[in-house]
Amino acid sequence: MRKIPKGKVDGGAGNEASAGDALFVLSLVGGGIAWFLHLGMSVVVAEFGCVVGWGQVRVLGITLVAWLLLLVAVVALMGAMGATVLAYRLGGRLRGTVEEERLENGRGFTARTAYVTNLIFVFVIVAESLPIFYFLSEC
Amino acid sequence: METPLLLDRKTPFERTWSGPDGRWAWVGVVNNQPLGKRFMVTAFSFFVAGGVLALLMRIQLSGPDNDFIGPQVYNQLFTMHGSTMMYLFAVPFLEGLALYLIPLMIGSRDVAFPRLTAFSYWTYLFGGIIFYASFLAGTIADAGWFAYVPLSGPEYSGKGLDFWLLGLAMVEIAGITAGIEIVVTILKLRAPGMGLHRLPLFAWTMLVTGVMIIFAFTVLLVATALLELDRSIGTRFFDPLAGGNVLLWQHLFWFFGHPEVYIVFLPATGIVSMVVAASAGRPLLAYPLVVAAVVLTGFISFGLWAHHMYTTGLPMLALSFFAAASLMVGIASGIQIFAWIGTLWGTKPRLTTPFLYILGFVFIFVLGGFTGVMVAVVPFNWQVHDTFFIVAHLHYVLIGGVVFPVFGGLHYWLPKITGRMLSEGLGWWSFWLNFVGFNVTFFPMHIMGLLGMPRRVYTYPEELQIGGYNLVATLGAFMLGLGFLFILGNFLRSFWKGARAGSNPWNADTLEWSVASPPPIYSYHRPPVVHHRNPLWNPERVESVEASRAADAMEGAPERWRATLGTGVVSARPMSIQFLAGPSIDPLVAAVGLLLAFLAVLTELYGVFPVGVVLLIIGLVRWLYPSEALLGQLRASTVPERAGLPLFTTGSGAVAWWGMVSLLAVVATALATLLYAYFYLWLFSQEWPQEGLGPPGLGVALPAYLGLALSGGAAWWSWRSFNRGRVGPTFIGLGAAGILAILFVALKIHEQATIGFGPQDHAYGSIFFVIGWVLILLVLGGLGLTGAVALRLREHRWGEEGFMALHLQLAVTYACFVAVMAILVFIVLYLAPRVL
Repeated sequence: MRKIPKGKVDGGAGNEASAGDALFVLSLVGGGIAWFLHLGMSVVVAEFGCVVGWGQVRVLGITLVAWLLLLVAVVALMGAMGATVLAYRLGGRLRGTVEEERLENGRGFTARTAYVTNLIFVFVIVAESLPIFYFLSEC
Repeated sequence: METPLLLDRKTPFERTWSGPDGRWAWVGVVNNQPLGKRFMVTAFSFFVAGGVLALLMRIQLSGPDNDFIGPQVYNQLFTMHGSTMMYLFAVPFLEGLALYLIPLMIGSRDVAFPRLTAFSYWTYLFGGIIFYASFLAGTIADAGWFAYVPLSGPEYSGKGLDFWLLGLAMVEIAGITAGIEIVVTILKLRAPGMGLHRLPLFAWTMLVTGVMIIFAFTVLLVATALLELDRSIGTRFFDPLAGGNVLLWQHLFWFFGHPEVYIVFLPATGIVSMVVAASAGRPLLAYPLVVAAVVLTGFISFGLWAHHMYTTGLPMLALSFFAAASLMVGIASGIQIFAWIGTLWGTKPRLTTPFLYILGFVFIFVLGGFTGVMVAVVPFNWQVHDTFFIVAHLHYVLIGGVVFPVFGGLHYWLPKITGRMLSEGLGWWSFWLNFVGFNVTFFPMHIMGLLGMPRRVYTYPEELQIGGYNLVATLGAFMLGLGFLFILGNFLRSFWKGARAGSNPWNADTLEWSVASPPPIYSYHRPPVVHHRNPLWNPERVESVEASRAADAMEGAPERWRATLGTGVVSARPMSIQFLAGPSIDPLVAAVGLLLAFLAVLTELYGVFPVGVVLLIIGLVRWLYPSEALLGQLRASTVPERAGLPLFTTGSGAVAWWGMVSLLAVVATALATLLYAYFYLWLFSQEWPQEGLGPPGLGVALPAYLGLALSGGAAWWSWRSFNRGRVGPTFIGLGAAGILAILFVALKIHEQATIGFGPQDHAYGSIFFVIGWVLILLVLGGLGLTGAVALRLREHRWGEEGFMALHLQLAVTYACFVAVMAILVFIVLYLAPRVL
């Protein structure tokens, strides 16, 4: 059995993957994904729930549709806030570090921008959830 | 050191980049600069045609009860006008501008996949020709640029709609491929040092736009395919009598249609940011916030589609979410507008023509934004829906928000492209004619709409008392047309009378202004190294050792093949010498194949269809399969060694890997759209599956799908074995994956042939068959890819070369992706009807 010499493929600088990449990507897109899932799920619950009659089923005086929408909103908010915290921690850790200066690294900037973006997504999810309170007893 | 720009004779490096001479050489051109220009010139030609259609409509509407053109022609005119401006002008023009400028702006010699750019251009051109060929055929689309069913269905529209759908499909393919090109180029080919924190804002907006195009255009592509299937082979997706749903079209169309507005608006804001900074002579204020706003806009634009559907009977609860989302998008636009104002605050900007257009944009777009907030409010929307108020709003947003910045951008960058300055005097006249003409045309439409003038109706009665407003609007439209002629005249005049531009006539800050005007075909003789967000305003030269070594090694090199530096996605550290494909007619061959296949559907000469498909496959294989001569040149090159960088990388280090990820994103979006359609049809269908049918049987499906899932596992095992240097298991894994995939195709075809219902019986059958065939085609594509890689592995005696690792990784990634998709499809098609 022949072997491929190690390191021949990627060379020295060939691959930029690092251990924190997954978290970094999550901090970048986490807020946006939480927002999109929130809107998508809310529309599905509202449209499907109202068509099949969940709007008439009441639990503690509130329709099942409204309960589900509140649940979706809470989960989405937790996701977006998690991404915000993650971006804040990554941004703070990279801010002004020697490594960032030496490598002229864009990760600190990207994390800080993601922090602002995620924060706005948290606000947007809250704002988009407000209409639920006008439809607690009907579709 | 040689100074190539002063040499009379071309160096080998220059010859490599300029390509072969000869009468037909232009068809094989793949360089970004000529192709970017072709995109822009073609798009501008369509823009002129669309403008003429608009003037004809305005003549018709200039007085009450006018009979200049009848209702049928009016329907055709507003359909072709809207379609031309949205599909054939706005997106292709901005993509052309980006394809030309982005490599210069980020310090690359070309785009990531030069032949894909050529394919994109040809496909766009052919799509546009199909669109307009309907005029010659005497059957023109008449269902609006949105083509709502049932109006666009087989019962109510003629052949013109087929021209429209098939032309549009080609333009969508062109848009998606150009979008992938732009995204991968920006992510992977930036100059060393140009981390994401130093990316010019135009490039940021194009990056976000490219990602949006990948998702939004794919949804439209699926929607147009479904409608064409309804029209050509009789599927029932949009037929309510057979389980179909007309609102499905509206959902799919507007899931594309609303992001489309931002797809053209975001690059325009990028242009504004660049011109504002250059005019103010200082960096843009709040750069990180503007980047955040651009990203935010990209996301939120996908959550607004239903605000075009407020009157379709959606539940109030669902509407409320879209109303809130529609209001929220104003936050992102507001951030950008305040950043521009803040940048200009306290400066004395030069009132040049580009800046005048930007000022015009701010004024008009803010007004369009105000009316946008108004129509986002549900009760107001109900009042003005389908009136001229909406026509006024959308033109304030699209002409103010896109066309004005584009004209500003053209006046700004044309000196770079042609090397000649435009006349400021003519520019001043063109601006004021356009600005006044625009407002005279469209402002009265707000009032007309509020007074009750419906849109898409060819005339109006005198009793409505809006004849005066309409006459004023028509006069304004001609003033606007005159302004456009001034721009055109200014462009043409500049070619022979324009003053020499010099490399940086605006004293701007970004890299494109560091090279000659017009730039050399290779853009950069030595790749630039960036050390500041505004590199030309901070000329001190600080280069890291690794960046300097890479750039030095690339100076005027390689001489026999095209290459640029590949860098890291976030940090832009040098990572590889990126090979770039040279001139070839194969992209044209592939595009002609696609055209033939589409024409076969259009003319119902289905015998031609396989000819087109074969031509497409021949083009793709010749285009992608590397020649031995080329590989020999790559092996012999000393550039990688001198640069200290590899020629081939794998994973996120490789440009091809990002191309594959983008392609898979397109496929995943297409499948997600079909699965969404499946559930949407199910939700509103009386019976699902159709009458008398139970859930589809598992006897054939279970082994087929299980086999396909296992084939993904076998492919992954093959890759793992390759990395461990084990020859036998690598081939066994690939072979097993191939056999399981072939088994899937055979079983699936058997199932489709014997299942007992067809795609024409009911919407259930339609979606079941289409999803099945999409999966079969995906598997066949994977078989081709895996087979080619296996052959090359054997041919090269499984060589010690990085490109085999890359090719195998791409094939395995594809196979694993298809396996995951198959599992999802199995759950939806076979398990969901049993469980839900």
